[in-house]
Amino acid sequence: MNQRAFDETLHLSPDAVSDEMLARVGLARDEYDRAREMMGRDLTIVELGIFGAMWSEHCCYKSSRLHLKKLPTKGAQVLQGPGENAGIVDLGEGTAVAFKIESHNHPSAVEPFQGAATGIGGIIRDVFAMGARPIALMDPLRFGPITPLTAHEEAEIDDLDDEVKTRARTRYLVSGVVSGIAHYGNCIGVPTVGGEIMFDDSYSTNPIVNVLCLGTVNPDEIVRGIARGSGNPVLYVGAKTGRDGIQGATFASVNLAEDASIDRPAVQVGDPFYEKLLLEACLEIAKMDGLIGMQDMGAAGLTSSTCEMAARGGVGIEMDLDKVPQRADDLTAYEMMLSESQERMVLTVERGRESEFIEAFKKWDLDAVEVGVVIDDPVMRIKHKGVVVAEIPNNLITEDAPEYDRPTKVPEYISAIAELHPEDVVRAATRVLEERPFHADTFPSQPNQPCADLLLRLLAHPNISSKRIVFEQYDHMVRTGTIPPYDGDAAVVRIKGKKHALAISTDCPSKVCYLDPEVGAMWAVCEAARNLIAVGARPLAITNCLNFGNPEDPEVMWQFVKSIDGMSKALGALDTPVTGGNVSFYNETMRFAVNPTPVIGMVGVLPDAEKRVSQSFRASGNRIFIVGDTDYSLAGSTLACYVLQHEAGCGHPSRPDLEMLVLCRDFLLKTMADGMIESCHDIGDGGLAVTAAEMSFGTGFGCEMEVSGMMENVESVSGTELRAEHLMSVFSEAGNRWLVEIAPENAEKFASQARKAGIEVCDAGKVGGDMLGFTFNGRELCSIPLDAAEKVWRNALETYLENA
Amino acid sequence: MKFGVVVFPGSNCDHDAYYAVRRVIGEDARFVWHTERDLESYDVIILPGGFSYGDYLRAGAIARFSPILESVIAHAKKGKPVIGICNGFQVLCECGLLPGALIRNRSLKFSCKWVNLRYEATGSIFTERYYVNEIVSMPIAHGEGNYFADNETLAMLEDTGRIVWRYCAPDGTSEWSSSDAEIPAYNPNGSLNNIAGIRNEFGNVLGMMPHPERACESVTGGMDGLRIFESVING
Repeated sequence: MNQRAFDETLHLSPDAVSDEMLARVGLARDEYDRAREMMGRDLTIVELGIFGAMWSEHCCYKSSRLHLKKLPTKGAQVLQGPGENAGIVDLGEGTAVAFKIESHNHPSAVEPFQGAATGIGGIIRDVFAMGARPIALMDPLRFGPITPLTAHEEAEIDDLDDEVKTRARTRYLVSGVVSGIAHYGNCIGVPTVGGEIMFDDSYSTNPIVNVLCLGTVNPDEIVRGIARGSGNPVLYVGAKTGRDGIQGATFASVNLAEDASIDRPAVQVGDPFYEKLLLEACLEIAKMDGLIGMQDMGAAGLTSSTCEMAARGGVGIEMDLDKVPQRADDLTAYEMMLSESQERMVLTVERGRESEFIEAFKKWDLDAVEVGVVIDDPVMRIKHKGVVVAEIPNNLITEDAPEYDRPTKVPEYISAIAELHPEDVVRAATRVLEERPFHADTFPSQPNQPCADLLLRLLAHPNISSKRIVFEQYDHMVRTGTIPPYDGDAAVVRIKGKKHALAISTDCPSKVCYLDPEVGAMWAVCEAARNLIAVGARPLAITNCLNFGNPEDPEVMWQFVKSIDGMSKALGALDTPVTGGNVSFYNETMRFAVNPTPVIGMVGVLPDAEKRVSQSFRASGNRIFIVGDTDYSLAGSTLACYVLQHEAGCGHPSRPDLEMLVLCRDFLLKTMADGMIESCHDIGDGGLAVTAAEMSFGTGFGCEMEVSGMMENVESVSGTELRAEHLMSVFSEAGNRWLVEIAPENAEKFASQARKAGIEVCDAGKVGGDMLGFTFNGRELCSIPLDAAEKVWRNALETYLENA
Repeated sequence: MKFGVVVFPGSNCDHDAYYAVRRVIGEDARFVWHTERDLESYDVIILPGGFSYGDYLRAGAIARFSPILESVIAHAKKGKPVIGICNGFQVLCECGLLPGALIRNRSLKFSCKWVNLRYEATGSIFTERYYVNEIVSMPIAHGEGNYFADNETLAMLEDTGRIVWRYCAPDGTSEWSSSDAEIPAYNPNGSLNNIAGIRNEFGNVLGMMPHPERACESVTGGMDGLRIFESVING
């Protein structure tokens, strides 16, 4: 369909609106009928396009809105909840933090470098639109497998050629996405302080690229995306509008074509240098009198930005498209309204002061032009070449946009998941150790100690091994706010001139979410909270990015609804409301959907930046305590999934004890404030053994731990037989647990205070030596030279990415 | 003493340099916009890190033609102190205040991490508070920090003691063999002779890829960079 062939003022009768046309604008036939009925007349092609974009899943959350309402959004700490460019939380001391997460999955699958880069650009704009100075970026990423095919996999996989190609493409995607983030983030000078990079089959054709930005703002200087005051000018600032990214919002709301490259024109191209100018200029004008509102032009560009601003202020906007700065010749009204050209902002200012703003932008070589005016009538009126080409009441494309209660159905795979008996894991592990030699030439093997061999395999697992090769490509220190260590449980960024610091963690155990979406979402919240607590930060609030498959599939919808349920419970227990976020559906190719991936970005506050707790051991001779739950289930653990592969799912992950988590939070933060805790690390991916190993790496201190202490009904056994409780003790990821390093003189006090607080702790050993040593009831489970283990952990990811 | 921190469109370590001088040390510092020409009132000029003018074409290549650069060159020619950090070092090489060039890292990847440096040569107004062969630690963050010069220039720099900083191992080892294609692991970018920073003939101009302004407070990882600024204040 060539829009240029159309008279854009023409009101098209339903007969003239072909199915092809509707497919192109992204409207279902019944949605079109509904739009026409609400308008009470025929629509122009421009109006069709506006409805298509604004009623897209990406813009109006039509499948999710109903359910998102169940999430807690209120709290004394929340200065701005969902519905704005970004959420804002009060940190105290006259500082607030604006933060938001977004997905750029679809563009990144098609063109990884620009897809990821423009994701960064968009999320940074969301934050400075609030008047906040962006100070940190985080990038939770998910990809398909990148490891070379093992003999076992070669025997299992039907189409080997295809699998080899898919893995090669995945390595290309990883490298493209990482360079895209590095390019944009490094150039604009906002440090990338953390994130995640995880690998799983379910992401082979649908990578997850989420981007989170945080900024600081004085609570009195928050800017909002609002239009007010009839007659006030609407200013357009930034890059000129071109044909790039037309209908990106619609693109993000359908499944990807099998050949992702077909969709390339829907991807935009970013210019971080230009955005740096826009950022500095917008922060300057944010402090100027006469500014009413500011908004980023993101998805659905000029359309969504202007109608959202008008809707928030209960007014209308009349726009004259002839005034819009244009990069290409003969842009149609349709193209201008739906272009997603990057690095553009919309402002409303007081009439009579527009020249002050235009001047201020000029200093940064940026053009600000008046493209429209605020009107009392709450409509979006678009003029092009002197005639009205669209006039739509705001409410029809904002609050009255469709909202669906889509059908749900328990997925078949869920009923097929069997109970996971720890003995099954023992059998599978034993078989794996026998049958699948572990890259013997690259890494050392420990055949006489099954747990040691398994630990080395986990340390080399792409999801667990060091992410240094990726992280070093990001400038994570610019702005001199990032407080080391950089690879801790949560990233910590100080606020210059203040005593406190903010901490941030992004998490999502998507395998657990697959096995049980409700419990998985709870795990995600708990893990984020554990991470913040481990550095000494009190969790305050979250932003979430909910990445799922096709919501029109009742099984996917079921996953979504269950995830929201689990998330609500955990967020409620922790008093960490949602301040905004993003839903990304249609992460699905050929009915092959991603694991449910509700990424939690949790923000917390450290009362004293100097008291940030590290995860690295500090001194030989210090005691190591296990703190927290006594749930040692292996269901959903990295180990179980690794040894069982796909044969039996990986069991039913256990429900976390939220009350215990709250008790632990208060206890740990208190003991940290008292200076009793030397180091602390949350027990997450890989379980206790991996956690202890990570605390050792980089310090030169090994550890000697007796790991049976918190487990109940432990029998004394002899012989070399591998037993279920061995695996559970060192590899369980269930429950909320931490390893905590305590100086010997404080050990007694720490234990008694914990007992008083109703929390299980166990003095499980000491820091020191040059081995990673674990015993179970006195029997040696694992004893690996620290340097060998560290080498495996440090180099694994680089080996997979670079030497494949 | 008054520091001028030059701000090109695209500079992004300007705030960090300003903060180090103004807040950490407590000296006077001002931002100087790239279109300004008058540097008379400034004692020390800092060309900060970042991506001046987007670093399109080549790092520092466009900044060299900005209005302020003429004044920076004049400032340097009068013997007044000028330091270029990271992108600022690239600009100093592009405009001829320092010899050589900074090309893409050997790895072809951006690299951000703490590195060890050996202080080699006295004679720079910015380094009087370091002692020869001292090993310090500062962060790098660049994609184009691979120092390159022809053999003649390299020999001149070596012979005249103008190589101020060399990348080194934690124990201070910094070996370079021109016949050896193998770059030592402690050299993060492939720089010839492990060069991390050089000075001009008179010692008033210093260019370095590592970021001293990021190493001024213990809370953010270390204080080894602080003496760069203290040296010039007391110098």
